[in-house]
Amino acid sequence: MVPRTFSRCSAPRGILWSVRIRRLPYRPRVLYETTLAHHMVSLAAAVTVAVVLTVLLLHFANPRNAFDINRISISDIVAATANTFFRMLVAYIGSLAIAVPLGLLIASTPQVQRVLLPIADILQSVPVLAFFPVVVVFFTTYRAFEAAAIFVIFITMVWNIVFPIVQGLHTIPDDIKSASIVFNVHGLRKLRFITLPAVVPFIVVGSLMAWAQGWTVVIVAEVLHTYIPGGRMSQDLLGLGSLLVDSNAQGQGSVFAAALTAMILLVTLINFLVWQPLLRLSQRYRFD
Amino acid sequence: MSDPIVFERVNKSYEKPAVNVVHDFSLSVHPGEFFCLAGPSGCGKSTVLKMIAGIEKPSSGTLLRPKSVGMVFQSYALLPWLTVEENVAFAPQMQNLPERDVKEKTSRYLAMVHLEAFAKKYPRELSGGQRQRVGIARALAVESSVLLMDEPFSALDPVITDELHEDVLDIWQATKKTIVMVSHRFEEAVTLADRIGIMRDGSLERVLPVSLPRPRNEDDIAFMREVKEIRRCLVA
Repeated sequence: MVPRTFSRCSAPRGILWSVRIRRLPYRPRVLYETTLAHHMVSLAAAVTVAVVLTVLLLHFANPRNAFDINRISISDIVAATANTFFRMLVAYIGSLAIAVPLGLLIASTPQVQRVLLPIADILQSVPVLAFFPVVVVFFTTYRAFEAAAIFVIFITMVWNIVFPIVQGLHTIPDDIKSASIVFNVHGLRKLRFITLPAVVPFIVVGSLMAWAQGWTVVIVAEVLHTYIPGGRMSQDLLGLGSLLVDSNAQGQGSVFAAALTAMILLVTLINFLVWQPLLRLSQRYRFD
Repeated sequence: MSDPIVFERVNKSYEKPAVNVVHDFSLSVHPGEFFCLAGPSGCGKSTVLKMIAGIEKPSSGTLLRPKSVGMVFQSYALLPWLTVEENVAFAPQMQNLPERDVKEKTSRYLAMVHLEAFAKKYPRELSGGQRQRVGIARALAVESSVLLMDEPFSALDPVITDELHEDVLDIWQATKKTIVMVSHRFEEAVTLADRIGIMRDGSLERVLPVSLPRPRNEDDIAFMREVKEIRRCLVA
């Protein structure tokens, strides 16, 4: 009878799947003990995350963007918070998906870096608001208002992640690179087991900066009427940014205060629940 | 039987900046021997070791080297996000061995370097000596007939270094591996090696056999004579 036990992966493969059922041929040893409380807390957390994401997804699939700044209710503030968060999240996921391969490409060889790094540097230094009107005109042609806002946030975020990744790739010690050759770690395996873990701290710091920049830009990204020739306030996207700008313009102090409070709460929550734990975790990935 | 390591008139140079690091290097390391490359910093000994490991390729000449080697690095080269046992398991895992074999080798080599109690620790939580033991266990877990060591003890204090010298000699005698070690400490070379290759300015000046019986004592007159002989080679 081959004993079965829950064990924490002892191999690098375990980075991706921390707990799984494994057959232990002999000398079974429980490497990671869990109690019922652990499982209950994990289950509750997983269900909560799934419910929240589903609600957000359903909401965002058909966002409620029509609003009258003179008649804003609590539910409007909640909807605006959800909209803004999802715009930021979609832009961030897009930024990460582009920034990681782009960073790897830029740092791949000195020759490629000599060409791509200056281009990236120039693109990064162009203020996003300089080409926002062009972006808005392009997207509004196809009535893709959400896409216009998300694209602007994405453009703001992406460079904040690309450059730290490039920097991180250069901090991998030579001995680690030599070890990867000696231990026959090449291609995708090198990417998975060495390169990506090595840049985790840089991705986390870059992401933190990206979100900080994103919060700044989301305020203007949702106020589309400013950038549409002959635009009206009714063309704005419902979000914390548009509520802040429009309520300020219309002298709606209570709406302004509510939107500002919601934004501060959201930023604080994300900081406590996401960035602080990730920053702590990323310390483990730092080379001495 | 160990794989042979043979250099025949090997040169290694870089284009940018143009440097000739190793020139006209010929050497044959005998299977199962403990060979030490000694010499001042920058004389090309680490480059020779990297060529044996396959990290660097010779610019010209012939090099016969084993297909796979285990290597111990000066800076340990451990992956900080993996635990001690995950670091040791890394080498056999990259050889696509079954999980059962990986586990068995990990346990065996952790025991060999006396680190079973530290299996779940991260490298950051260990002392320099313990980290280097992990590096040695990882290199052994490759189970190649050749073990390369690039100044493995230069960052450690003398007491730990003496302990590790004894451990390495025990491991060498138990496993019958060919060990090629690089060191700039002549006393260390005489303590450990069967033969010492003395390098200067990228060339192999001389190969000196060490005929002292083990364990070797640094206070012995014969020991000091060997060290003086190496120094004389480099001054001449």
